[in-house]
Amino acid sequence: MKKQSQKLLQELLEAHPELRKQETHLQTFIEDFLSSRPDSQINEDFKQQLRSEILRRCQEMETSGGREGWGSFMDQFWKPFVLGGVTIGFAVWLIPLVLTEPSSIPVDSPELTESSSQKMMAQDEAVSPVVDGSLAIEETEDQAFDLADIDLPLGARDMAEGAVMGRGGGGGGGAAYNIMPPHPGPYGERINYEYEFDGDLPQLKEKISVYKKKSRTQGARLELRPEMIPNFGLVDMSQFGELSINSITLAEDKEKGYMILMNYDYPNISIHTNYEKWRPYYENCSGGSEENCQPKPLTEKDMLSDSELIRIANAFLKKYNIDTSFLGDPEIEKYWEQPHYQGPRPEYYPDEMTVVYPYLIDGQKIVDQWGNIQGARVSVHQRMKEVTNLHMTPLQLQSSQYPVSNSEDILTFARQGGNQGFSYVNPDKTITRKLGKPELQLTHIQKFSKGNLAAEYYVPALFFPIEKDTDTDGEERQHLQQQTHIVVPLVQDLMKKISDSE
Amino acid sequence: MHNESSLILDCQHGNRESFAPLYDMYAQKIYGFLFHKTLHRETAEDLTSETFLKALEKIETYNAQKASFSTWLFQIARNTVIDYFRTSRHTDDIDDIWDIDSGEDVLEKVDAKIAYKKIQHHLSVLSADQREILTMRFWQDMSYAEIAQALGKTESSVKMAACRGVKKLKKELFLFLFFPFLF
Repeated sequence: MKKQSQKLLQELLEAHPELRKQETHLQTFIEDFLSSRPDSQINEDFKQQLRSEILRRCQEMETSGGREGWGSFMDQFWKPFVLGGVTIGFAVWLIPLVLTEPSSIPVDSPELTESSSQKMMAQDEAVSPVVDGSLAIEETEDQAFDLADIDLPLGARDMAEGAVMGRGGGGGGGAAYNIMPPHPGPYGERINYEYEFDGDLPQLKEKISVYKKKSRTQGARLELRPEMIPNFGLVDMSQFGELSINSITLAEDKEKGYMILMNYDYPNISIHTNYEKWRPYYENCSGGSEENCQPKPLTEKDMLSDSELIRIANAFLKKYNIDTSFLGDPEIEKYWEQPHYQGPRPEYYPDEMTVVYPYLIDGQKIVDQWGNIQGARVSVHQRMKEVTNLHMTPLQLQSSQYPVSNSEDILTFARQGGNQGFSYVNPDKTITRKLGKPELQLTHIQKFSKGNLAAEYYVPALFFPIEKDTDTDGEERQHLQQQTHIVVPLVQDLMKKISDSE
Repeated sequence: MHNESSLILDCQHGNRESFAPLYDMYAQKIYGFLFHKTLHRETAEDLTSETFLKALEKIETYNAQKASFSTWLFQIARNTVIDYFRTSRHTDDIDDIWDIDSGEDVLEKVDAKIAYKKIQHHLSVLSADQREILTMRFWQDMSYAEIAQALGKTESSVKMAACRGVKKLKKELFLFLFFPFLF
């Protein structure tokens, strides 16, 4: 501390030499100040929990199309695209060099964790040498990967214990996404929800497949020869070792060109308009300065039909030979029609509509807890009648068979709110809501693992729709918790972990 | 090593997972900043969560030409803590715990009670700006350049505020040592 106080003292004296005559008193004061420093080191568990929550939100935002339209982004960020041109050349030059040695592709090992209850098989057996195609599933032996450490969605089961996480998504901007926070937050009324289910569960098998996404795309993580990396003559790249590409950005330098972004840590690909090359088409107004240019809002008659949107999206996929073998029939996302998205505005019709091609795993769709279907997402700009954005991820999976939970556990868990359930110890009130007939779908669960990579699982789950709650006049009651489904994963071990965490 | 601006752009282009390394860079700084304003671990964690989740949701509105990412993020943290005090105390003029009257039963929500008692008299005489800068420099060990960036000020103005704060504290400390009955 002495050293630090000396350093701080010198700083102050350098800035204000007139303080030098009070140097001794000043030093005493600084030492006092330092000695009273409270321990403000962030708790590592909290830090990792919040990181997992952030990654989960990222996933949900991407699934639910968390964009406010091209205007809000492009209006502010067109200038960096000028700089982007410089990087484009760099990237374009780099790629051929990188791709010259396909034989040096390393094979990734799955990120597995040891568990006393579930021994995993040898990693060599669990991973096939090379898996081709966008959807590849390899069967592994029973319980080949361990679910014991899956991070559960953060909810107020933790909150009831006092480990409060977040306060409802931070407020503001919520209308931009069709996701809702898992609870209304520690301030305000504390409401517990309970759920009733009177029906019968569907017939379930004794064992069921759980899928794990490989952490990195096979064949995508390429080795580099350091000397091949352009470095403006500034750095001796040969001094760096074990280099690989985490992500690449490419851009088409032509009219109506696209930018292509590929991420290999979290395998996904995005294609979106290279704004500089689309500027005249975006600027759909006449006169006035660019900053003030506000295209007129769309009206109902400007909206393209679903079939037209799908036609435009299909043509784009065909033109770029995009693999659709693991995708289901396209659906138009209608999130903007929901009342909480419309907000107080008179009427809102988005410039861009999203066509979602659901990912299919063994014929099953993946649905998040808010009812959003995960899939390849294609945005169609309604003014230009062109595709402006595509986002998709390859699904390269391992699958394992797990025993299915018994009916009693499933129902108990559903009544507690399922995967997203939480309860306050001393609630202000408790509301009971009814559940409808459940459907079997896959739910997406992430586990934060070492190396800052999230392990992703697709777990069979029953999705119980929450029935609309009406008062005696037939008016729908508004609930703080606006979720549409209760999600109950069907794997016993996972449910046990959830139960143990209570 | 991640490049901050490319991570931000990546995020704004829809690859939201790029926010995770940004979080890694700033988690301790933002938590420390909020802890020193609340002196309560759970509240600081709560506000840290809120700050980062707000930032994640609003990342598309961040404009690098207007302010550094650090300035933007700290501004969200500052607004969040002001909102917290406003919500929990129905008072507009409080932006950290040092502004709260020592006569109130504030210690119930203070983890660092010894630290609070030791210097509460002194820190409360400073302006919120001066307190912020001194705690960032002395307790969070941030450089003046980092503080300037976080607060969206010039380094010289931050140093000037720190010196003014120290001078004011020195005077206060002198009175406290020799005329403790005044406190």
